[in-house]
Amino acid sequence: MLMPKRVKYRKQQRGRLKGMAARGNYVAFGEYGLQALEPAWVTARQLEAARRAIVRHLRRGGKYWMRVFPDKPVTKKPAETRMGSGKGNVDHWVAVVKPGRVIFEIAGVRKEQALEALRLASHKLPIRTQIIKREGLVEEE
Amino acid sequence: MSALTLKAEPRTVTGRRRVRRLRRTGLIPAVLYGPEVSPRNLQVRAQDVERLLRRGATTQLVDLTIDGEPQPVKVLIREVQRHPVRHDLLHVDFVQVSMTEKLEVEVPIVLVGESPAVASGLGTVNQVLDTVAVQCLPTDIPAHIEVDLSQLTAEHDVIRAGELALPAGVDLLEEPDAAVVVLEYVTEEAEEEEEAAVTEEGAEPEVIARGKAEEEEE
Repeated sequence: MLMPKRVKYRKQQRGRLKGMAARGNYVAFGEYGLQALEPAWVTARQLEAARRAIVRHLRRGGKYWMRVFPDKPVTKKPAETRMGSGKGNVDHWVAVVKPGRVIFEIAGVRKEQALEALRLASHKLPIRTQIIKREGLVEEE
Repeated sequence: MSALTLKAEPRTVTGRRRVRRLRRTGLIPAVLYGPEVSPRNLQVRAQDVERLLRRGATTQLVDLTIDGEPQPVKVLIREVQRHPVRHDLLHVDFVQVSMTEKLEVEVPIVLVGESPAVASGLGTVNQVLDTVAVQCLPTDIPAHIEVDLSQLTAEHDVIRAGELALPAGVDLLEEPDAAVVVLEYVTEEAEEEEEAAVTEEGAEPEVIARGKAEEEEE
C-alpha cells in the first residue's frame, strides 16, 4: 500500500476539510481526469483498488497519473481499550481530498477506453466524482 | 476567419459579495489592461465569452466594444478563471494589444497524424507541452501549431520545441531543447505493475531526526 518513506512526525491531528481544492484542480498531464466532487479522506487501500482498476482496463496501452498521495497517518486504538493513555497507533494512511481535486489522469488511449477506466476507478472511491477533460483538448470525433 | 467581437460595460461593482451577485445575473467581472493603458474594470456576458473561447480567442484578436465608447479596442483573452468543480467562468483578463509591437502569447499545440512506433505497439504518445510560448505581431499569431506525429519513431523518440514548424514572423520563446511530445515505451515493468505497487502493509516509515528525538523522550 502507498505510504511515505519518511515522515517528520509519526502522528498527525485530524484537521478540517473546508472549501474546494485550490491546487491540483485541473487536468495537468493526461487527457482525461477523475475529479472529486466531495471532501473525503481517501485511504491508500481505496486508491490502490482504483489504480488497479485503471491498470487492468488500460492493459498495456496508455499512461496514467495518480495526482494524490496518502501522506496523512490515521491512528486507531485497539478494540476494547479504555479511553486515555495517549494517542493510538497508526492504522492506515489517507490522502486528504477536497472537492475539485483531480485524483487520476489518463492519456494515450481512445476516449471510450479512458472514460471506462475512470468509471471503473470511480466505483472504488468513497466519494462522488466526475470525469473531466483537459482544457483545450481536441477530441478525435 | 471573421473577426471576433465582444461587448463590455464599465464595471463599478467590486468586492467578493457584490461580484457574486453580479455573476448570478449572467455577467462576469473582467479587467482590461495593456502596456499603454491603465487597468479598467469591466463586466461581460459569460455566454459571449464562452462562445469566443470556443472560437480560439486566446490566439485571435477580439474587437472589444465598451459601452459609451465609439471605437472598439483590439484585445486578446490573456487569462480565464473557472470554478474548480462547476467549470463556469469566474473572471476574464483582456490584454489590449498594440498592432505594431510584438507580444508574447501561448499558442496551443495540436497533434496530427499517427506515429509508426505507436501503430506497431512500441509505445504511447505523451504530450508534455500543451501550449508553446511564442513572440510575434498580433496579426501573425497562429491559431495553433501542428506537430506531425509521423516523425515520432523509435530512432527519434522526442520532438523538441526547436523542431516545431513556426510560421514566418513567429519567434519561439521556449527553450529549443524543451520536449513537446515524447514516445513512452511500453516496458516490462508496466505489465507487471499490476502486482507490484509498492511496499507491504505494516511497514513503518522512518521518522526523520527531530520527530524521532521527541518520540524517545516520551
